[in-house]
Amino acid sequence: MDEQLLEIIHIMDLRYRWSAGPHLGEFLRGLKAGKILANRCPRCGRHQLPPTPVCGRCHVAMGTDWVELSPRGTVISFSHVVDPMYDAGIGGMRPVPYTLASIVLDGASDVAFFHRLEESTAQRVRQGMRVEAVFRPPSEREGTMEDILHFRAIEENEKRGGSP
Amino acid sequence: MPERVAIVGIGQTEHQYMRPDVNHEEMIHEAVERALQDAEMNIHEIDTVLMTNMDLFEGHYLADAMSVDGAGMYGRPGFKLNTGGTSGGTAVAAAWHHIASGVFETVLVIGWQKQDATPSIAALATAREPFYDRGLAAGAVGIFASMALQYMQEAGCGEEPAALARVIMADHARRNPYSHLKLDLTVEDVLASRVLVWPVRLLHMSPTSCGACALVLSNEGRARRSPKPPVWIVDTETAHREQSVWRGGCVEPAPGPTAIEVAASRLYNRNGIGHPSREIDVWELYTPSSWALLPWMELFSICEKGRAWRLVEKELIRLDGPIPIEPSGGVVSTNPIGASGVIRVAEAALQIRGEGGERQVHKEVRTALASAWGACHWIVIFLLSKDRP
Amino acid sequence: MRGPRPTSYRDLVRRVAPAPRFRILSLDPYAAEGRLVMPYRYFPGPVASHFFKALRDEGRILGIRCSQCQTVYLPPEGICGRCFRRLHQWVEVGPKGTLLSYTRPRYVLDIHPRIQPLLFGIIRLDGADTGLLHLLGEVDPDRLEIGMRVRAVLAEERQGSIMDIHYFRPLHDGPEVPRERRA
Repeated sequence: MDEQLLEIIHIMDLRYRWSAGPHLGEFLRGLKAGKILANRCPRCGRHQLPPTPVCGRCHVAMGTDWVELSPRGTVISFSHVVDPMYDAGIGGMRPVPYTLASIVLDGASDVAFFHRLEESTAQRVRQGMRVEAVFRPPSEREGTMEDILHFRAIEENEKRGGSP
Repeated sequence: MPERVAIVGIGQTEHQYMRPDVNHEEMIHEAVERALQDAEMNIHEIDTVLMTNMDLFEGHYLADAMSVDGAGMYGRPGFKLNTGGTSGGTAVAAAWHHIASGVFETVLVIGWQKQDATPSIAALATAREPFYDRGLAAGAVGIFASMALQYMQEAGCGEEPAALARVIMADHARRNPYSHLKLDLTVEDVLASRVLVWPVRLLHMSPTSCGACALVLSNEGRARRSPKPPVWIVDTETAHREQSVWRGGCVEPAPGPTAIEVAASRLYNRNGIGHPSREIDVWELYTPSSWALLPWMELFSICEKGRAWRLVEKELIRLDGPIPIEPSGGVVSTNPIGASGVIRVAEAALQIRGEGGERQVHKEVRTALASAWGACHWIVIFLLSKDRP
Repeated sequence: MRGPRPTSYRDLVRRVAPAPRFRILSLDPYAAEGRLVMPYRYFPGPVASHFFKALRDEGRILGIRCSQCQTVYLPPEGICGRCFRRLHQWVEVGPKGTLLSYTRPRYVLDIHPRIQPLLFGIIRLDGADTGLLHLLGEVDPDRLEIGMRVRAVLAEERQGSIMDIHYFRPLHDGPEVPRERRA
């Protein structure tokens, strides 16, 4: 170690005002209402999550006919996040472990949705597992991705809308 | 007809985990001094300087502005650019275009990163959409995990080939004085290392490194006066499909060919390359995980689909093999991200010059392919040659 | 490894105050306040470290001279951009100098120092060839003048930063003649 050399600590603390825009904004308001909304390309018919103004593949404006996707879907891949990770958005360590899954919601064409899996679901997750979104109670929803608590495993014949 | 583009100067730092002994300008200057020395040029013979690093890693807005003097940018019409993991490749491609256009005779291109300032993964996560997935996403390891799962399923191989590929890269890295990690590994060591996201283990992944790499590129006229034989960058190609992945993630594999296949086929077709594994003597690919090597060998048409793991198993990718890959030790041994793409091109050029030292591939090297890759499925590739195109 | 013992990432992130991810300002149109908080450890390198240590420990202000073009840089730099040479030759400059320019912001930002009136100056310290951006104090804003003679006032508690110079104040103590430039 060379004591002639210095280390300087500085904290970059920036506040931003972000606008979600009409498309992602509609999606976020949908979450508050307990719905997962996608928009649709008028040319290829693909559903887009998160909703965007333009279909990246066809380069045409997305339609205004919003589609409510099923809260149920199929896990196509997953990651168990175990390493402690600093998160610049909260100015602290993100709670670990958690399991992040890519889920194709029923009727969502070829676009996946990202979210956490409920703990016991995470322990037995496999590709192809059927899962369902669990929303927070309406009074706790704010219009963010956190309005979905997590996804939990379901049996095919199970009725919709299990409680958190 | 574009101007021919040659590499006439190569310089890099000894890459390390930390560089608390220098600031980024001083670290950049080490590589620049070496590249100019190698080219036997002084800074006043450089027309412009292009620079790249990943934003936010060092906590400097306009990190290039603070390094103007050390980088040799004073008074020159250069700029900084950033395309994520491919940054170094994009910078070399931009330098290539500057010279090919006929506007510039000499370009100094610098890639660098100082990953000792903050946990880089937190900076990486800010690439995500703030409302949608920034609070969930956690780095790039998951991409390689799904790549690995899919490869094992389709090719019918186990965990050993990716581990062996890592061992071979480590063997190459130990012979490279500039390499950050110089590990002495066995397949058992790799398979005993901690699982990050199954089946990707700690030793499959690249480290976080500090370092810089600089190249002097010139047109043919200037290259004739070069003290060392010029290495020609015959062609370059970029392809990407970041929209589909970056904004919400489509199901992988998305329909259609991958970005690597698109870029490679365009480059091969333009240059009349029918049998890449026979016509290209050495491969310096940007593989951030040794798992990525297996599918990518196939996407680059080094071999047929499902065959890559068998070539690795036979150890044909070693320095003395018929298809040498990652003679430098690869990104899994050294990853100062903004520099990594430049290092790939530098290593390919060193191999063509025959200056690989202990890591020089055994057969004669007349052609090489270098690549850079980013997690948004962005790819930049280069075809290099000893012979004037 | 050369260099200081680095603060661990664990200790580094402990210095950050946590806060919620969003404060939603409006649902339609959708707008929210978010954060980007990154802690950094910065290694200023040998040249800047030497400068800050001399300032902190000895109260001396050091410039660095290019042996080719003779320019004395303050703040000191590792490399002369014009001559593209590494710099090694330290020279003590100041603490007196000449005001090259000044400005008075009529607004206050979070990042501004908490002193009133807030006055910025560019000062060429005696013996240096380049201007140093710093604060001006103990001065009537209406009496500021380009070319006026000033002197560095050092902070009582110095920590190894440019704020170890508290500010520059006008010279009142008799006629002051600038030292000959050494170049």
